[in-house]
Amino acid sequence: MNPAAVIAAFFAMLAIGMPIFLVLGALALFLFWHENDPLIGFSQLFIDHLNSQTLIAIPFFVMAATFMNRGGIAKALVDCAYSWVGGMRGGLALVCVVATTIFAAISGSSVATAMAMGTLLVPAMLAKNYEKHFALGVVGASGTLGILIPPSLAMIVYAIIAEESVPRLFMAGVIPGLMQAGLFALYIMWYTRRKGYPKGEPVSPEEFRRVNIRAIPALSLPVIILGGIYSGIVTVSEAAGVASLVAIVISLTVYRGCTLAQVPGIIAESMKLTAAIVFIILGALAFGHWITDSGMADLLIQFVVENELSTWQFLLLINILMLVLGMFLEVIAVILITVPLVLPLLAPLGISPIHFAVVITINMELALLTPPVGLNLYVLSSISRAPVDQVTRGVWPFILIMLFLLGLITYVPEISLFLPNLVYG
Amino acid sequence: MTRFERLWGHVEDALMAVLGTAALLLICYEVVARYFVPSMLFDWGAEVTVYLTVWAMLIAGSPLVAHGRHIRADLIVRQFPENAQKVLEFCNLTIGLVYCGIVGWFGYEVAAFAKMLDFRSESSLQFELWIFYLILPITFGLMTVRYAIQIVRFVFHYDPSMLPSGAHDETPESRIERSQT
Repeated sequence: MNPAAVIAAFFAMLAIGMPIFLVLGALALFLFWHENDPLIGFSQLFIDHLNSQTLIAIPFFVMAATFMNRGGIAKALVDCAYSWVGGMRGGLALVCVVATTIFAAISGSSVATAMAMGTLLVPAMLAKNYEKHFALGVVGASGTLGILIPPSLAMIVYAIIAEESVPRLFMAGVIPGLMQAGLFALYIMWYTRRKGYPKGEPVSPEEFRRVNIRAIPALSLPVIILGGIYSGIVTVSEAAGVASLVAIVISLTVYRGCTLAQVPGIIAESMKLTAAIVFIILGALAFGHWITDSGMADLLIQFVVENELSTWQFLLLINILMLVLGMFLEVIAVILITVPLVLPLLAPLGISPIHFAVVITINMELALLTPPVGLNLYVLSSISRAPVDQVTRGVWPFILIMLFLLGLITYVPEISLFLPNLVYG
Repeated sequence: MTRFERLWGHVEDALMAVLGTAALLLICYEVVARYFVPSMLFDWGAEVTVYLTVWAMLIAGSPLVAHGRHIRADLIVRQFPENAQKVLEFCNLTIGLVYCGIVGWFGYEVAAFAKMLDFRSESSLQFELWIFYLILPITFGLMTVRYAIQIVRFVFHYDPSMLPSGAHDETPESRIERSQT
């Protein structure tokens, strides 16, 4: 079937508000039928992809993030971060960056990160007379670190589609994630000095000791996840499972943010949140199957060759395309739509799929902040009862910082590849 | 939503919680047993974790249809007049019904085929794979029924909140709830 017609049908179905799992799945099913492939193969394809160890990491990371939000773990992390940097000028904003960085090393989800930090820190910042747009911008932008700093749901989804190693991908996100946190911290220090924000109240040594001891169980989670994966003690899925169980146990026994009776409901809710992603993944895999079989990938390669697109031009085009798509679609949907199409082009252009995953992830962070469909904007708007416009005003400086970071990461692949190459060779 | 549908939703929630908890405990048991009591380690732990997790996740497909929580891009369609939205939503629901029906039916064939050929897992458990495969006809079957109920409701008990935009009363909270990635 003519690829142009398929692409047109695809965007038309998206535009009429059809659920994305249905757009990808129904189109792929139609193409299966049109190409005279037996339809039993379509269902078999689903089952084959579902029987995957990588896939089951997603619900467990979602579960861990949900319990962290509701179980009081986020509060312990914020208190701990305050004891470290809260006494500086614009201390609460810096606390936000530090706490989200640690939270991101557990949760894997930007929205969960922004929600947890926003609930705790936005009221605190407003009470200290921080400008509202600035407070919202700091939390919204810092929350995006959730999908760049490992573990990352976005990277797991990419790994499933691209058949890449999850630990390698996670490793590639570490330096860019820390750079982003560092750039945010520098901007906050510059901004709060320029605006004459007062210094935060310093924490007494007793209080410092108390909150840090209290935070030890929460701080053990990133150690369990990342330490477990990179020491080879556990697989990615096992790390997610253990982190979930530890999150449940410490939520119930240490921080007491939820009760035993609430646990089954939270687990069921985590499964629903995951299912919304998994059904799209299944559709995207079936659609990707057609892309491979139809020779569309070859056509795209031919297009790149005929137009003599160099690597940097291609990366620029992809960045622009994903920024635009990210304005209108949800993060996982953008990854699932673009990756199967673009993947075959990476090798001919000499682009590492690991490096490309980081480029995509930063684009998806931007997608969470760019209107009209930037989920972190809605999270902050919902938490603070502020109009989305005000949140958008707050995140703009951070978007510019992230665009700078995106350029750097796109054209200096060594930043992303240094750690994976160092560890895995 | 009728009492029967509420009960149905509770059963689905309970199944997700039970299967999800079992998967969580099994995956953690595997880690502990591997390092502390290797003699009590099964060679089928990882395999059964996948079965339990996949079942728990896929069962959630049906409540997502019932509550309109499958992720969609509704920005453009929300600008359309109500009548156009009604027609488009009817098309969406019908395509959903047909798609889920077909995948469910062929999912059943995959399971029946696996049963006929006696496909089993490679572990010592020798698990009959048709049981795992059954989740496909079950979940897509349930989704088909949910779509059918929605179509009947849409045709005979139309309410503007059923429109594709995720309803006229879409709030930031409902949008966040729909997608937490």
